[in-house]
Amino acid sequence: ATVSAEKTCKLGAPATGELVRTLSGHKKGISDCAWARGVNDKWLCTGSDDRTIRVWNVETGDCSIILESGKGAQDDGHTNYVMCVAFRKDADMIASGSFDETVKLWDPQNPDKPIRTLPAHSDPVTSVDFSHNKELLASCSFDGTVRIFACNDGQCVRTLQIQDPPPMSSVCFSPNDVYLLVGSLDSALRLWDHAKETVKKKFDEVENSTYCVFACLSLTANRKYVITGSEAKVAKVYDLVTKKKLQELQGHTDVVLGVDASGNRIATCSTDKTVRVWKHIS
Amino acid sequence: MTAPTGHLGVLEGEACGGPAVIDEWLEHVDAHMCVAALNQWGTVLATGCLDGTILLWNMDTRGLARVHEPHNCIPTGCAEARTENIPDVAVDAPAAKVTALGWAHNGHAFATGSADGSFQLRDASTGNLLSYGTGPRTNEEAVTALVERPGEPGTWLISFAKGYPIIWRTDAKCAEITPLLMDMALAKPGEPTAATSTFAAVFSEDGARVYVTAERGMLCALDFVTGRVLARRRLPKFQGVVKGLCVSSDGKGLLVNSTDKILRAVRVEALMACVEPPRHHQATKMEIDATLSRPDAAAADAPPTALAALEETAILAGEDVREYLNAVERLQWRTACFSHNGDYVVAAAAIKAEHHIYIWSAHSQKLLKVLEGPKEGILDLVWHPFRAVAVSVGQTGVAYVWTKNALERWSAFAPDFKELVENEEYVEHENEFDICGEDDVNASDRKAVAMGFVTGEDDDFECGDLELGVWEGEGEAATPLKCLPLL
Repeated sequence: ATVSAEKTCKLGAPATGELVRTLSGHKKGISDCAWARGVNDKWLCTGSDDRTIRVWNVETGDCSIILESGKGAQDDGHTNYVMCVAFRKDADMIASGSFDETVKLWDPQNPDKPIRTLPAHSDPVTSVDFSHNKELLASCSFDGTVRIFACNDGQCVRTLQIQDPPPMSSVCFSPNDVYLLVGSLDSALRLWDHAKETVKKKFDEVENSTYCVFACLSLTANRKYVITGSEAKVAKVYDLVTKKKLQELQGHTDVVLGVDASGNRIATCSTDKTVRVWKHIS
Repeated sequence: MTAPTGHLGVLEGEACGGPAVIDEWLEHVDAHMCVAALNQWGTVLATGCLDGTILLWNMDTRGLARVHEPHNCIPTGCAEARTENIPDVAVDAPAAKVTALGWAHNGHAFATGSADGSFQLRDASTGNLLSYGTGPRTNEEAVTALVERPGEPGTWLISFAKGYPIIWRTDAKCAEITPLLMDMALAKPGEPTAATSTFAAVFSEDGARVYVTAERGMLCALDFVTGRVLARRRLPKFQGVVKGLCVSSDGKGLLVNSTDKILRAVRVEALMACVEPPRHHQATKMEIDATLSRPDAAAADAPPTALAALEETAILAGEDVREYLNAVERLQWRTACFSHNGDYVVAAAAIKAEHHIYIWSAHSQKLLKVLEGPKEGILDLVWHPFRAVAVSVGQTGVAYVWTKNALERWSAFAPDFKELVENEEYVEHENEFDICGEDDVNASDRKAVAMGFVTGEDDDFECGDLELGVWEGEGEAATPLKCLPLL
């Protein structure tokens, strides 16, 4: 699924490359989308500059749930652009980070108001991610901090920051929830062990200083990669253990903003308005 | 059924001592809740209402996930149960109030018992009726408990307000009901049927045994498969009638609630220490049926050793039984249970207009805390399987979620600051605020390495595996349902 500033979300089939469906409904451009893992890929949520989050049933294309403010007396929705969204495994909770510097947790079955509002940061929140065991939520922001919250009571568990922190652009939990891959606007990626608050690996020369370029982990049976987009118009693939850059995926003609990995495929999207799907050849 | 470990292990330290405040009210328009039950992971709370409706709440988000309308089945006079040809909703019969709830271990279904002695098994996600039945007597007695046998899904132990508990098997084509085989010597001699006695029964944690309480404070352990009485003891100083029985989560303790206003916790080891020799009269199913149909003859036929056997049964030693009570006010207890780790015994006081939950230390029997809720009586109390969270249902039909007092850890927001208890005078070192000449790009990282921040080894490490793949449909019934899917 890809989202764009033209207020629509497009779903494509990675195997064939054809457009399956277009989801429209948002009133302004969309910044992020997230699939619900573990529930047969039925639900997708998108966060938009119109300050709402919509949950879509992918099979029918309907937007069944809208999470926003202004319903009745409760004025608890976001007050500024929604920058990032994440779906918890089993689709029972959604987290959204926004330019209003808060992270809100929502229950999609009771969309009237958020479960909790976390006073997470002092600058726009750029990325949120749930841990795979459903207990923790990580958020990062332009203020240079990465904060980890407990989902059940909203308490801040930890803050990760380095000296003179650069703005952070993306967070991603590792599948065993021990490590956190954090991208920042000083063109580096850091793999943190968040319980011990140490940086385990650092990847340089990612070329990320203006856009919020996203990075993700691809861990298949024998191989561990870090894949990141970059402003150098390529997607870079690093080996997780040796930190060496293994490959650059060439083909885009502009900044590669988003990457995602699934199975042996990688999808990349870019400001050149195209989406490319790459397959691993062993 | 172990508690998830992880980074939150530190926050949930037992020093806090259990729930302290009401965190949330769970209420729904027109729903008047009266019983509650948590599934085995504590993720979904089922509450039954006076009009027979069942509400399912997601405990993580505290949001209402499902509303299941009551399914009216025509109650019949004799014991029967059906899984096929379930009749459609009977329009005129009003649904009876829900008096007991139990969850299946795989989380896919729950069982409800009503005030008229009928019980149903329903699918958690859709609310469809899977199986139903009624108790084995004409005077309908309310169901007091429904427990699924651990390790054998589809087999439930159902206790009634009066009369023998029954075993209900739902997976058979025609669900069968068998009265729990009981040693006839338990019945009071001279009593026409055992129908007027109250029994409470629970499974042991492996499902191999059933613990039953009977009159005069008798506590027995029966082997589930053969029905043989394995051990039998009497509770000391017992007067009154047993109201409830529950097992601790590690299977080592039993808690008995009775009308004599004392809660007794018994160590299972102490009960099993005397293994019953098989020479005592063992009743078979046929004999029980015969007795039920010939009430007058029962007194004469009862083995002469019945009363003697009762008197003979040894009383549990004082040190094996711990008592919990409110000695000053002598309160009745509505319901009682162990906490998730067995450290506390919790009970809801049966006071008309007060919502008091008493918490004792299990080992020292000392009253630790009394939680006071809004001014209304308590109808039911459940404890979370592994967190210090409790849910109580009040007289007005609202459920209250009790959690620990959440202390804000503001130091988590700024790790390089230290939290002080009071103001301290700060004396700076000689060169502390002088400007140094370092202007390197990687200064921050080098400082970080010096501080032990960055571990630069190139060693391999575990990151976990991404789950590739689509969930296969066939596995769905087997995988436990911890969370109700989004509709």
